[in-house]
Amino acid sequence: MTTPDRIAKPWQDPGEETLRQIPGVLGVYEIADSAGTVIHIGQAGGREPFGLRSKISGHFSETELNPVLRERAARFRWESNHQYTTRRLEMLMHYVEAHDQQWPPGNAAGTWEDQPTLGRLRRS
Amino acid sequence: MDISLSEEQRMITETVRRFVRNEIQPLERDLDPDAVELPPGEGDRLREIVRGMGLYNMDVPEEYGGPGIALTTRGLIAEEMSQHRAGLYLPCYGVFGSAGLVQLYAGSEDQKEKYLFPMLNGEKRGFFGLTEPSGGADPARAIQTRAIRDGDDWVLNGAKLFISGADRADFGLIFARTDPEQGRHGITCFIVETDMPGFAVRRVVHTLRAGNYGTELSLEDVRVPHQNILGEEGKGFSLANNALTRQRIPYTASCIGVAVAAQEMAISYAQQRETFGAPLATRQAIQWMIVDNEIDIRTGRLLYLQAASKAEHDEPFRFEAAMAKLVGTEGAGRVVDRAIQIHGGIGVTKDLPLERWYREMRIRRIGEGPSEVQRVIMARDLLSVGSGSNSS
Repeated sequence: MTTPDRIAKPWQDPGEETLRQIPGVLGVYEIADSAGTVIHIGQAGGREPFGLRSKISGHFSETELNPVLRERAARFRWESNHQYTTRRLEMLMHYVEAHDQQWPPGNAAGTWEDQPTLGRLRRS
Repeated sequence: MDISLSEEQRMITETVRRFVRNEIQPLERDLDPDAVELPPGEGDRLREIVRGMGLYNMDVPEEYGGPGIALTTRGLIAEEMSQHRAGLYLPCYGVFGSAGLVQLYAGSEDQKEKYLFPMLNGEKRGFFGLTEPSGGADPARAIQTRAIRDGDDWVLNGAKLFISGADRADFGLIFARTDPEQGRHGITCFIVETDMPGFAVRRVVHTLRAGNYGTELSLEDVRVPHQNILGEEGKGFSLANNALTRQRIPYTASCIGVAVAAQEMAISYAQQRETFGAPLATRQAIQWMIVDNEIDIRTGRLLYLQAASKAEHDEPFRFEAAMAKLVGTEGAGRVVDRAIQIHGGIGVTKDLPLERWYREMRIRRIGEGPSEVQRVIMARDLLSVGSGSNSS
């Protein structure tokens, strides 16, 4: 069984109540701009105090330092996943493969942890 | 067998122990609990330290420029290198280098020039493609990937599963069936370049481990030149099997290393943590767990050292390697489990490395030949029987 290239859920708007309802669990997420274009692929790992909830909420708060996310982040979707490390790598590999080896702009503008070493997935 | 460590072995293991505790463990305190790589610059810095220790690329044979580390010493080093959070599948995050694919040392001079030397220089990466969706424990029978001769080429079709590093590799060793009538003698090893048409890395295979993850490969009419056969046609299985037997020694030793680290944590916690007015260490239930841990650790260590010693003396060591792998991986799993039990709730959190070790250690009873196959190997020797009614 293969996992989908992207998170198979509808986009959500970052309203206060919607953000509060994100579970505090490990997982991966995507951030999109208002047109629904993915601009960031991230993970909520074991050091995140409230898992996906605090990690995603942070991207829509005044404390966000990433200039791309500050300017363009408009929607999000998430996936609870204990294999968050390999799942995020897989999602990033699919993205890079589909975008002429370019990173999501939010990852490219982020820290080294936003740009992990990637392999190449090729489908016959 | 003399089981006392030489002065050189003692010095090397203490050097590696200091390196892990002073350089690797502090870095991990700031990383995600499932981290698979170090911050930028740290890898290069640490590799320089390892080069200074004379242990970089320590698995490379002496005649190819390696330091000539004996197998017992290699086991002791593996035991030290794994004593950190990511240590089971990413010992020291790879800063000790690698011998790459050891099967390539049996290659032709052209193959060494094209694949082995660039791999040792870090210019090319390779992968080992043996296991298939049809099974990995009995590759002689499970391999269904077919290679059919067509002029000067071979045409490969099939699939591989749980293949580490294929998504980052320039080439790989693919074991394929060239003669379906010949059983294990009908398997041939091919060097396949990852940009050959028809080769695809289909997906990441998500498992209990974060580092060194597996992938699934597909081969559809991949055309491989005849000169890319590694070794001889029909001799691929022995090429794989010989290396797998030897690999069981450091594989077991790294499990023992994690068990040692878990035991240290368990002892420290039992001495500090008080329940019902007294330290856990005063409770017989805890004392027995600590003692059982030590028995498992020392048994596993003695067995891998015995296997390594026999290999070094050019004696048959397949039986001993199988026993070490079986006892060492199962014992180390019990040690980590007991260490978690002693810690209670905090033991299963991602605050401590025990949680990651518990998940990743579970794979060790399956990887590199599951416990049941190790028993089969030993039973064959004890009973002088073959591999079954369809033995080939």
